[in-house]
Amino acid sequence: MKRLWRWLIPLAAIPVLALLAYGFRVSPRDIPSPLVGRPAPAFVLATLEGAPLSLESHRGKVVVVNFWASWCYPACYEEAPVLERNWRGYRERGVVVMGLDIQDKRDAAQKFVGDFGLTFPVAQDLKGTVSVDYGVYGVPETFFVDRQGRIRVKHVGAVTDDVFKTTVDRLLTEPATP
Amino acid sequence: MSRVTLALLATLIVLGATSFAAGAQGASPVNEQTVYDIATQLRCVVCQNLSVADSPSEMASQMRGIIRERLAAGESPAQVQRYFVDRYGEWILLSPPRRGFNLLVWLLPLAAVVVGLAAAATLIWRWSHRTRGARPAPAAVDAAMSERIRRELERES
Amino acid sequence: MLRLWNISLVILTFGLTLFGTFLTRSGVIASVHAFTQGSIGVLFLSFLALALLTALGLVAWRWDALRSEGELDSVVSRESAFLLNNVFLVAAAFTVFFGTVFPLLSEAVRGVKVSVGAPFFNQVNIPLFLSLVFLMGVGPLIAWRRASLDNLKRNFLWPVVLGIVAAAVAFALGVRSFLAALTFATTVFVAVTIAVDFTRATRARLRVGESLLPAMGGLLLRHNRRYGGFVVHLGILIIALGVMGSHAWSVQTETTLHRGESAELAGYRFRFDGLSAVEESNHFKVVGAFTVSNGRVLGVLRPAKKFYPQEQAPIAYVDYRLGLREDLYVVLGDFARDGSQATIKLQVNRLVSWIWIGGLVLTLGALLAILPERHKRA
Repeated sequence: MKRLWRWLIPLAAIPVLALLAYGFRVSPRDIPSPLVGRPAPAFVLATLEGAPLSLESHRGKVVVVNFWASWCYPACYEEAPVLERNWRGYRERGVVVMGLDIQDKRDAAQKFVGDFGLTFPVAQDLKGTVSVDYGVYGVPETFFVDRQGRIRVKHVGAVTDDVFKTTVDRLLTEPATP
Repeated sequence: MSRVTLALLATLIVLGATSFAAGAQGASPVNEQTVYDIATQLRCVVCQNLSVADSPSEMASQMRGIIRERLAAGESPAQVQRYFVDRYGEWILLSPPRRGFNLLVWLLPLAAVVVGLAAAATLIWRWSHRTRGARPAPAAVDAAMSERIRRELERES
Repeated sequence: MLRLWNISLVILTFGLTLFGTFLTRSGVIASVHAFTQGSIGVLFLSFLALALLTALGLVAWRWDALRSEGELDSVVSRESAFLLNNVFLVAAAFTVFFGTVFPLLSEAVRGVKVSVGAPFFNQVNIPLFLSLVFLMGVGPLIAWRRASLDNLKRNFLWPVVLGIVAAAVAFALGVRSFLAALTFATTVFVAVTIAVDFTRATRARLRVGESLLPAMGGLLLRHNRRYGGFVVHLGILIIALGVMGSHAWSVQTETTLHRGESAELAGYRFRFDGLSAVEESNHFKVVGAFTVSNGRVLGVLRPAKKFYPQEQAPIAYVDYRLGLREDLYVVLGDFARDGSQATIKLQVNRLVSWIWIGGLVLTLGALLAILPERHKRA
């Protein structure tokens, strides 16, 4: 029986190898957000036109807060038309889309907005306070805020029509007051 | 830290006069060393395992600015750290908090040393005592021979 | 003896090198060294599995042939010193390994992502390496069978006393970090053990009639393996002090300056003289000029930022000034287009040159030790 204990040595390598193999199934860049389910942090910024943009003023509507940058290629370029399309489709139904531009130059941001013909409010987060407040670690990231002001979904990566419609449709069915 | 205080005071004066990124709140002057100390504990979110202090990225620069602002507004380093953990999760701390499951990574190295020392001690004991029992009785050596050997050895060393 | 241990260490070393390559290539763990993520990860893991399981399996199969009747004449012996040394080195290796895979483990078990980075490794490894340094002072005496109880006092009285004195002096000079004081105490302790041994041996030769320099030289050359080893230990002590200095006493700051303004750090003054821009063949370079002085002008540092058209972020080039006691670093951050202001990061790193000097001493000691042993003459 004592002879068999020595086989523990090669066998001990197996759990380590299994753990490394598990590593293939998860991505180290995929960080779950602790903010989901909590009230969305308030902010007040100025749009590129100079108008004030605040989250609080849209309480009662479903708000889609999208963090982007002009240098984020190709994801932000893919989702810009999606956001614009859905903004036009949903704006009469009590949905607001906001674009927050991070770590960018003003002229690059304006060019981006012009190129894609974006009509939803776009503001620059110059000091990064809002992006850190939302736990943003890359672009694009999109937060879906319900009518009561809570973050319900955080979507990392380019938003698709499918994701937008299913999430917003679901949130629209919920009441504005608890 | 007393040796650096003089240099830091001068830096603070310069900082106070020229801060253009932070938009000084003016509540209390910020110690750059404290900003650095907090930044070394936080993980830069866009880099691979670099600290916010070391990272050259713009995101890290903005995060340092936020640390500076919060300290200037009167928050303590612990509160600033808690703010970041609140937003990003435990992942943003470069050193896992010593709680619960994480204690494993803090204590196993210590356990490894203890187990290693115990194993080494056991082996040494066992090996040194094995010979004690089995050592054969020394053969009778000629006195003249041993005297010659001793003199040779002394000459060598 | 110790063949099993030896072969296991060899297998472990090979396995860990494969593991390291796997980490940088597979993208499984985010690390400063990871630079790609591809299918090669699966290949590497398979090869690692094959190599480890086969080699360790062979060890288990041939266990009886490898195992030898371990025999030591005494509890204190070269082998014991070697084993003790191994305990700490392997523990340090295990710490780094476990810390590296722990994020993965935490996610697998708890579903929570954690990070294990520099602060953790520093905190856990520094005591381990300090123990190794301490062992450097005690080890040679164990290895040369001179660690009996009465010898203990003769050999360790001065080192211990002077080690404590060193810590007290450090404290009096303003050092408040416990680890820094402990490092002082340990390095002085080991240095004094080496000095005690050397003086005693020299004195013995002086007594036989040799004069000082030939006695010392003769010792070094005749017993070059032993004294070469001591010189290597001295090199390690210098490195230890360099690491402690750079870790505990380095200072840094980040500030924004207008043209002509100065920032001060650790007695050095950095004056921002202005920016200049240069268009190179494949990039655009912005260089900042900073005059450094500490009472008198020391020179001009020119950190730069290179903007490549294909890259989103510019690449920063630090400029530095190396010295015996401290190194100065200036990094250019944001700047105004017209060159009127610039944000810079300043670093004064202490005692880093000692790490290089210690390395040099270590190499010299190693060279001395591997000199062919002089044939002992009467």
